[in-house]
Amino acid sequence: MESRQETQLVEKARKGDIGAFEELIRMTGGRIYNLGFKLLRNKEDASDLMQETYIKAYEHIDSFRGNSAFSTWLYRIATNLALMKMRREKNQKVSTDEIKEAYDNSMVKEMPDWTHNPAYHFKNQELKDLLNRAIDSLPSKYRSVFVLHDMEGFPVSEVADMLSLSEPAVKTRSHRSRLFLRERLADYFKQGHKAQVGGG
Amino acid sequence: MKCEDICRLISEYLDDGLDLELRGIMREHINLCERCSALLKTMKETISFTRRMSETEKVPDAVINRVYCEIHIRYERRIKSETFAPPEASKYNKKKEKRR
Ligand SMILES: [Zn+2]
Repeated sequence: MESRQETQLVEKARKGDIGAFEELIRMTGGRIYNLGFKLLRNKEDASDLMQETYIKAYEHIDSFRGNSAFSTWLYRIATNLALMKMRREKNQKVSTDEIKEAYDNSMVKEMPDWTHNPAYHFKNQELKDLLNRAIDSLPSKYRSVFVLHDMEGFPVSEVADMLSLSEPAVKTRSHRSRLFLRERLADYFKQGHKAQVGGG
Repeated sequence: MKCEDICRLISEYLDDGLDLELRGIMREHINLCERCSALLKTMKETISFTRRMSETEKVPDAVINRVYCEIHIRYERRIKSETFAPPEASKYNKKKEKRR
């Protein structure tokens, strides 16, 4: 969401006004921190990512062209830094093959409608933990797309732009991630979790 | 249209990414097919559940302060290099020279 205020602050910051840059951090910091938290899955890494993102933005503010919102530009920097970190770590619990398997399964396997199951409730902490673990386990190329598109709500075209991917590639990764997470939920309900509410 | 086609296209259907005619054909199938209507509902819920889970965390003050601090260090550095460096030593001044 580009605002006039943001544009003016960017202009000032570009001319060396540090107060304006601080104001931009104050305005966008929460979103960048939370993006980092969703991508990297822990607070410490989210903090480091936030710091690296603003340092990079500060040092390269002259290259910001204003074609997109400043916050989108920051998202792009943060996502790319996060992806580099995720690639370095490679501690994924699920392989790309398993993601594809979930995709194939959904074509053939019967999956009942669990949306009326009494255990399907937002207060069900077990369900939230399960989904968090499932998102953790997504390979970075899927997780980045899922977080940006489904959790942050960016349209396919913007996600493609941020990650330097084609739109069909974004759509495929988004679709497979969704099917994978849905399968994890289906497994949970299949195991007979009937009426657990609350807790955690 | 087969169930497999619905499964292949369901994400784009949810993202409003298909043309009206194709959406109409899909809607017709989904309305009549229990399996595909379950697919649509569970996909929708999976997305909305994860979206609701992504409620925002507050940035700790210490983290924000650390960021400000790092930016200030770079700001000071920049000011110093602009003030004290001989013209040929910094890129910034080189550019300035050219403009003159
Ligand atoms: Zn069907």
